[in-house]
Amino acid sequence: MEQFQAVVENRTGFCLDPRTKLLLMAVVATAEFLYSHTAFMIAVAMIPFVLLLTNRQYKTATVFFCLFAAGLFVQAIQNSVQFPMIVNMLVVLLVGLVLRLFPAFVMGAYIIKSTTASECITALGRMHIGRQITIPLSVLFRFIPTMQEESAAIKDAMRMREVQFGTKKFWQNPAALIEYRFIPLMISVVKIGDDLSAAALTRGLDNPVRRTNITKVGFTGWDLLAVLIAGAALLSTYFFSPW
Amino acid sequence: MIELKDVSFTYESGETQNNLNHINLTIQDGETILLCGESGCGKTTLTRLVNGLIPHYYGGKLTGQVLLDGKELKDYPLYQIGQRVGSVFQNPRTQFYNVDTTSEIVFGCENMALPVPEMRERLEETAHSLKLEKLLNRSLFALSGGEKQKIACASADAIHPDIFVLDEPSSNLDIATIEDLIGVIRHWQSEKKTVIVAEHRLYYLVPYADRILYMKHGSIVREFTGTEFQKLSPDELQGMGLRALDPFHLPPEAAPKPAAPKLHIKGFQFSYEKHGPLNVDIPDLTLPQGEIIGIIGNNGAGKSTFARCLCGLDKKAKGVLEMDGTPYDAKQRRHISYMVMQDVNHQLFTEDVLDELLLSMGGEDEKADTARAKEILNSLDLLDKVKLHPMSLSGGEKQRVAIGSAIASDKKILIFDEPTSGLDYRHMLEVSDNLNRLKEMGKSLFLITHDPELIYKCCTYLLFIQGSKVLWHRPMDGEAVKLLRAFFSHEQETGAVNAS
Amino acid sequence: MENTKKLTGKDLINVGIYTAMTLVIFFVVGLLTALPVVYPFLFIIWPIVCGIPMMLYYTKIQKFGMLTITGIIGGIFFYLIGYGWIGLLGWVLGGILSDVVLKIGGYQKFKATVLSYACFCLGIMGCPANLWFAGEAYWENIHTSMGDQYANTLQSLMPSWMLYVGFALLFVGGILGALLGHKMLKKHFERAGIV
Repeated sequence: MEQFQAVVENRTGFCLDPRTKLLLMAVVATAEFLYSHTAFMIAVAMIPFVLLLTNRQYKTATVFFCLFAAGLFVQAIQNSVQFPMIVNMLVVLLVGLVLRLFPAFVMGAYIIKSTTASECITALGRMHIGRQITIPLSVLFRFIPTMQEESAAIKDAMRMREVQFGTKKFWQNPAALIEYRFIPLMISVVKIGDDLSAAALTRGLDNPVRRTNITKVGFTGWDLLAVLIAGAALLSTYFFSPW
Repeated sequence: MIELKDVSFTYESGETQNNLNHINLTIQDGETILLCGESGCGKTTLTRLVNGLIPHYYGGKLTGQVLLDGKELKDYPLYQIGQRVGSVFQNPRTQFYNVDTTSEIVFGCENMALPVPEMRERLEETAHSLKLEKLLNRSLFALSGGEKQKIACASADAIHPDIFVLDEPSSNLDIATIEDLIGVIRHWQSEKKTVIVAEHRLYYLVPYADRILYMKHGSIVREFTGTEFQKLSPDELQGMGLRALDPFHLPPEAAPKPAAPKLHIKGFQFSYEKHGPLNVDIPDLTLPQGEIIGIIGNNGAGKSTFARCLCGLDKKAKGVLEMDGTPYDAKQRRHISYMVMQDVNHQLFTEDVLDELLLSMGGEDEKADTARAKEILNSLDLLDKVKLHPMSLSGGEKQRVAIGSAIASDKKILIFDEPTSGLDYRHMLEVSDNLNRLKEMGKSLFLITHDPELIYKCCTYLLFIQGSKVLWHRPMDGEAVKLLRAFFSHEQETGAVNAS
Repeated sequence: MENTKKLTGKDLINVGIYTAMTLVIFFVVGLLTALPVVYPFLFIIWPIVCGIPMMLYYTKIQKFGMLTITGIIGGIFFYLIGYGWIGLLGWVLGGILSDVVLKIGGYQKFKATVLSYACFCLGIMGCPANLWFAGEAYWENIHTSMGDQYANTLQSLMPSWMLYVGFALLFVGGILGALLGHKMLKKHFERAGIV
């Protein structure tokens, strides 16, 4: 699972405020439902595509580009070729999935990879979102990697005990495997959580004053540029389609 | 000044251990206090009274008064107590809240709503005085245990409290990073802070403590100055259930067997990255069977990777192990070897102790299996726990259940990863007894540990790993002891250099 | 130990922990059944498996708001990874609904807990519904631009009764999940002494 683990000291070059990323996500998520012309679709898809490139996520960007191009191509030839019924159903579904939903998914991939947990929490704080949300969210960010670590250790332990998929014991009771995998994980997470709560409370987690954040977030020229370009591209293609 | 006036406390969970009876104690500003005693004596509970976790977080029946500069702590919320009393806990993995080091260090400051410029100043100051500039802006998940513990100290330090309370801070640290911890404590002493430490490992703190309080059954029964305490003989310390004051220079207690059959390791090679440097590189190694082989070496030398290769956890590991004429590759080694992990919670799966052992058995003949499981449990003194949930047991009992499951599945090679971290003298002895019992059963044991007392107690053979290679290995004789001591003092020196 | 109606730091950390647990397990289950054939069964598997962490979570809930926050966090999470507005809305509504049910039914009451969790599971619909609505909009679009054959194909693929069946499956799965979670609670967590 992707995780908010990136740690960046000083951001140089192109970077966006997390709030801008949220705004662009909102734009993409909404625009997906307003698809009209092909040009508009391309404009929507360009937003995450360009952002992925700025964050050097070339692999994701390439995969997205190929799938999206293929989707557009199939849609274009759909009326001139007669597929058998079943294939047709599948094609319509897959094309719909790629064209409609993938822009938001890859936008998500960009946000997760390009934002650190502390930036995310700081930005939410700036948006006046209260501690009722920011505290659980920080705990979530902290526990996702912890659960990966614990889960890896448990997997090792299961392999040493030869309790795993495909063995004779597995076929006697397949559901037990889920139990063995998840129950120790949950017990260990609960125990870590107890320690963590105590440690966090001694460092003033419950202090009612509005907390400050050392992490720098703020709008720069890049944010303005990104919003302007994205806005211009979407509006122009929505209202004045060249095709 | 901290005053405890006739304080008693009983946990609401109804446990009989860890409670406090009529404690009277005054701690002056700037004092360094060491709390010692067997597990369950109440020393952790005492630290919780000072940092306010009792009564604000852990519930129970509290009588008497806990005063900080004349004011009762229970009248103040935790976040206000936290500005006066900084806390560091036992487990470096569980006490951090953020995912990156910088946010973690200033976490307390952020909660106090310090203005950002002041926070930056404090961050720099703390990073400088605790020597952790290199660790800033890193992911906490990528740090070693020792580094995480240093960040925990820094996080307490940045709040600028007057009092520091440390609850068994060295439990998960190796010899070199304990020296780092000494550096941190010395720094706080130089700033005239009050430092209160509850600990099992005494050697590193005794020289710097103003007073040493020995607790038993929830009371402070004896009080020493540092010099008085150092005069205690090893026998007196053991009688009190305490760890050695000089664990590095003990006599070895276990003798190697004269002529044991051999284990041959051939061409062990493994690397975590595809074309990266080798993390284990052992072309040819012959070790005795049926001994307790201590694996030593500094942090990152490849001890754990070697252990993982040995029990076949890394599929891509090259090389074979030959035992009694049969070669075993990585996958086959999983049938004959078992590792008892440092966090034994990860390897107990079932709903009761008996099932846990049955899970490791063939399952063809349930009656015979059950009889054998009970026999094994009996030999491990666990027969009265048969129907209990493994997770409800104490740490030592859990470890024995894990050992039992390994015996049940007829493993020949057992590897122990830090089996005594955070244990007092009595429990360390218990582990050592278990290891010896396994040796008598004819198992080959490997032991990764940074506990010198345990090595002297039960290792019969030593294997020294450095830079992914085996540098030397030999039975525990005079020469081995000399090399071992040289290794310990080298570790201490490296740690001390890093800390100063 | 202080008792207030407001959510304390400890409560909020609990929300975070159990939300993380549930989401990770949700995700892992989603990955395990990556085969498209299994997709319809996910509606029943998800609520059943997630019942285990959620029942443990319910033992810690004494106050109004925790489940709502879980819904909001889950919603934000799925919104961030691209499930759009409907993903967000589904989880938030599920959270609020389950919180209200629990408030009315009583905290730490078994029947209320089961019902509340089943309601919470209805919110999971937000994830696939995103797909469904995308299909719906697409279908209208296709109608005009590409002729009736494709439109009808899509229509047969995405009949509206599937939505109701989905909700029903989630609700039933939720009840089964709550029962399974309750069993695990008795079998493991209570005996391990962590409840």
